[in-house]
Amino acid sequence: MSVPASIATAIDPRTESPEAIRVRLSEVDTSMKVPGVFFMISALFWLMAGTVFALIAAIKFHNVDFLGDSEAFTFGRVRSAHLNAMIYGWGTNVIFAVAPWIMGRLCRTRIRFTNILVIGGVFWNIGVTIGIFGILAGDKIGVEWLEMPAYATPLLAIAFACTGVWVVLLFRWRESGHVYVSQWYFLAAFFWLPWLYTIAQIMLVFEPARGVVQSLTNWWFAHNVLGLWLTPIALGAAYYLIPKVLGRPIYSYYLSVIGFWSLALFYNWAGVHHLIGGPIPAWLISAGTVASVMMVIPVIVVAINHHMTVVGLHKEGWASPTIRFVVFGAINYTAVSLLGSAMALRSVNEVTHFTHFTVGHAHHGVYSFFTMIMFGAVYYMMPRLLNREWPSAMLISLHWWATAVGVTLMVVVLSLGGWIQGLRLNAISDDGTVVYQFMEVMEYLNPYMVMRSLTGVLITIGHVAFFINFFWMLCQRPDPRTPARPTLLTNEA
Amino acid sequence: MSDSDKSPYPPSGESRSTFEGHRFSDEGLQRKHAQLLREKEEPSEGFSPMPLFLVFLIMILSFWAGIYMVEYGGYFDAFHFDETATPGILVQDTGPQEVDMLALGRRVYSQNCAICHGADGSGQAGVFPPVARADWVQDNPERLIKVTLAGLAGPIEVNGRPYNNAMTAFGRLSDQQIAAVLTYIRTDPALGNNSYPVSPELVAQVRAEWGARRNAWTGPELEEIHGPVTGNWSPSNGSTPETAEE
Repeated sequence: MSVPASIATAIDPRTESPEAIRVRLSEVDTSMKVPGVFFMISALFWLMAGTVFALIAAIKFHNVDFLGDSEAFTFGRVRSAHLNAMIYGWGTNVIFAVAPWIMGRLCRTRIRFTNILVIGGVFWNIGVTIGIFGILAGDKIGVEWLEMPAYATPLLAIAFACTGVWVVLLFRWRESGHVYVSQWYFLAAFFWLPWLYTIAQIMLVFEPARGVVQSLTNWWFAHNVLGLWLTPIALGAAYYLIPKVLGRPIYSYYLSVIGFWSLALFYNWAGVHHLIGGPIPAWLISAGTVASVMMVIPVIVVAINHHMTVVGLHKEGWASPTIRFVVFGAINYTAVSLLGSAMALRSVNEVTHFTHFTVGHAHHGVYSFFTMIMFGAVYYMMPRLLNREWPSAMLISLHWWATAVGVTLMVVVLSLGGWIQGLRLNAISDDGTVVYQFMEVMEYLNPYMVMRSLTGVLITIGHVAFFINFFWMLCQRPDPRTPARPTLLTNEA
Repeated sequence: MSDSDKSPYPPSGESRSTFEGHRFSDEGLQRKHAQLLREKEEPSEGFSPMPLFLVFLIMILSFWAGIYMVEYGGYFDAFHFDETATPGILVQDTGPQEVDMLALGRRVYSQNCAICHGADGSGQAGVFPPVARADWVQDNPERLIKVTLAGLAGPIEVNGRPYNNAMTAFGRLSDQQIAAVLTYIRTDPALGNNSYPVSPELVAQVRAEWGARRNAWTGPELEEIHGPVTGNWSPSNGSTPETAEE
């Protein structure tokens, strides 16, 4: 036993030897095997379904007649189906796979009652399926991010309770002394989402609030699903994976504290910036703008903390699929959040509001940041759950290049097109007439929309590579005599 | 796999390597736990101090937030929607605002009329009659108001040329908007008509009389009420008996 470990053990009896910790990690991995594989399979099928919906919706922007005869695939429905499949199907399923596993590892305790976890997951997926079919059948609710019809949502709430409660209870059963920063984020997120979801359902669907309070609740909810559910989970995963893979402690505990609490303090105010220009009392919008700008603090803090942990280890990081995806996500967290703070300023928002800029921004956040970190987490988790290696480094490499290049191009195209769109829609000549007719602006955007579909095809190629690699890994029978080698992306690493 | 070290054994002498070879030297065990054995230690946190510039950044942002809320806080009033307005002005009634009828009319024209009658008012030969230098425009304003409110269909003659088309009704526009757009086409020098302005009161009067009419007017119907289009009409030389009191 190394000397520092002995001293730590002497001071705090809960500090265990590294070997004992590794035995506990092995227990965590084994206990998470069945639910992890189940949630990953569900997440992957939803990812593919959501990708197809996305492509259909994107093509309709430049080829209006595409699937024009099909009522279920009209733009209004297929766009909502895409959003819900990605957030509740892909995003939440992959969180159910990754979050309990990381939480269990950090709590040094195996995941208990995994059968209930899986049953909750089955019902979650049934609920999402009912919801998506409800949307396609025309039963959707006109509230963004809550489009699923009311007959699907109670099932979702119960299924989430059955599943999410184990992450909270894992923390209760923890056998670790120190509480690591990822645990704060996960614990908070698993309290925040049920709170958001039930309040939003009650105030918007079952007992609707009146007047503008509806739209306030809507954007409070929608922005916070990103800010208080996807963001803390992705940040928690990055906080776990970066030091874990690189074998180096997180730069500063103090920065972690500031980053977490300032996120908790500021993020849930920020959604009001979606209503700038709307008939909302001025102080509410100003408060939303201020909170959005104050989000610069947690973003800068997390950026410093992650950067200082990675700095100098870029070569190792580049070789590791996990670090490649996670660092890409972390960099984009900084970029998307700083852009988001700027977009919350009234003068900027006047241009970007109701344009493709906002669409690009949403993909920047949910895809470039959240989804890429989740890809990284899956690349790290699956070999440990299955005791197998990823069969193809080439497919991982294809996945990385296609998605990273694809989504970056998409964000650039939509931001540029959206900005020009906003400027042209707002352009007023001296005598008060519009400079560009609406149709002129739409026609101008056509090449951008074609570009967006092409980047979507690129991302789809990446997803297919990931899909193949995952099921190849599930189906392969590893030879027990050959030593397992990690699947890395560069040979010299 | 995502570890940075390739070998199942961490290189000896590496910092934070936590293995003791003899405990995990069993080969079968190693193979079974290859992924677990090669991974690095569970993450921990360093205690580097917070960079100084961050303190200043937080101070500057908090200061800005305070200024912003004072400046654009809308006095934390539930009925204050314009962040730049002061509450005193909000309740003061400064009386009716002076409206530039020409500017308003130009805007209404460009949004509603220019699609057919053209931005320069020249219309389209044989299809849409012109409003620039047109006899109809310089005629009795009541005729124009009627056409604007309920539309016009069927054959007419403008400046001696025949047209046979249908014009949409614009009854949804307010009295002031209709008065403004008619004032604009009748008086704006760029359109070449030389007539007098139309008042919202006149529009309101015609609307009260004919507002219930849903079907479009026809040329002969209007001629029956107002007489033939002269192109140089004024209340003093008006020839039709019904509008004489105007």
